[in-house]
Amino acid sequence: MGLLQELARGLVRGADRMSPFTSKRGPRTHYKGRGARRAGVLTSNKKFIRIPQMVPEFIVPDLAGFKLKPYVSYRAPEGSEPPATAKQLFTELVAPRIEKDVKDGTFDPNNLEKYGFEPTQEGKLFQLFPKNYMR
Amino acid sequence: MERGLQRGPRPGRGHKGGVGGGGAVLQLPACTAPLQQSPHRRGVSERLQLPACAAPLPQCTAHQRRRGEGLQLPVCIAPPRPAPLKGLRLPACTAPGHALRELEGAGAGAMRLSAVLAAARLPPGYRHGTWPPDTAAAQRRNPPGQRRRRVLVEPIDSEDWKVFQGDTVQVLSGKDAGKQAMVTQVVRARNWVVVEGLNTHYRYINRTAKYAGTYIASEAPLLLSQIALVDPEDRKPTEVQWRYTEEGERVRVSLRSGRIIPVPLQPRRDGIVPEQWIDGPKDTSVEAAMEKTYVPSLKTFEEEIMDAMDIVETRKAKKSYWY
Repeated sequence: MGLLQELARGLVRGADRMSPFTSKRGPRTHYKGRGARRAGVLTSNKKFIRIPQMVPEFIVPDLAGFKLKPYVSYRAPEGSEPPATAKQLFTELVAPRIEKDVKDGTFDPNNLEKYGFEPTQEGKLFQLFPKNYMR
Repeated sequence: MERGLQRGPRPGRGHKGGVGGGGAVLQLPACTAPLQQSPHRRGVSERLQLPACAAPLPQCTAHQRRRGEGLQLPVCIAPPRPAPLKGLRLPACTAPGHALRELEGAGAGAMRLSAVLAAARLPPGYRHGTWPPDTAAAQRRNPPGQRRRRVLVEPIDSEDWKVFQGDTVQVLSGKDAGKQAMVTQVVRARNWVVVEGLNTHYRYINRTAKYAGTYIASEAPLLLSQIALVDPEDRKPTEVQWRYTEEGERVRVSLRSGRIIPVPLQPRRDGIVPEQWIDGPKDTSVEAAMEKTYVPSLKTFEEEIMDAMDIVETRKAKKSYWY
């Protein structure tokens, strides 16, 4: 039998065993979360103490005069910009400054921090790797 | 022979059936009239008086040079030079069969289940209805393993297909013979065309135990032999042929008047025609979407927002490890 027929036969004969068992399935008493982190601590009395610092807070800038909306019109053509790469960012922002310093003679290979070089991610609030913020 | 090489598909049919009257010069209507007579007819020496029109009048220079006549021969049956290579795909049609063949030809690796199902071939004796094969109605009528008597369908090349969704056609036979309407659906597998409001029968839908249902008119499909495309000028049914303009564009030409019948904008699989889309309240306008407002910087998005909103964070997170 063809693949379509086999799959259809399997679906007709019984439940789909390979689909994930989520909180939407099962009886009413079945409780299951979807992977959210606890925003507090569970004590030995089974009391839950909420920690405000763990509760996520959405910071939304003022959207007055903001023209972008959730969806894009179907009439819009495909974008012509290529995806941004690290090399492109470097050539746009950092390379001109390094070239200028080299021409002036003030380039110091031991002091690359002034061009934005970060030798380590320790101490940063938003570390790039390993990523410690949620996007 | 040079003549045989330059002709397109089925040259004989075009010359026999296409030319209307005898050798008299036809009265041209006010609109664009690309082709009046076959370029190969003998005795046509009078220069055609073509009215001034905004549309350019393409010329078939190949035949002109060969015959040595001063005729304006706008639309040529022969394919444009250089001749299309063998295996070259003509304008892709939206029929699902061709999409399937392209998918299989690409040889995509790990596809999702839905993509695998979409690319699965239909069984050999599949009975096509007026619904696409992946809809619930089609799956209910054609469960896997069902075998029905084959319906005989006249084989028509996909390149020779002339009727598209959105065309105006006239019904030639049947209950609504002589009426014109727009094509709402085309089923190429059975040479079917569903015309809006014509060839209707009546039925009840949304029937429940308490409600008898709504009485509606539903259209039955018509075969290609029962309809004819309508010439936009005189609004009469005509025979249509695929021809090439001088620019190399493949167009449908009415054989009676020579007018080009443009192919209407085809909707996508989800029924949307982007050129006719009207923006809703949640749609970003085209100008706003195409505006380039990105300023590259070495800061992350979160750091930029912190700077913009003057958020100061001096606390340090505890060190954590992952393996």
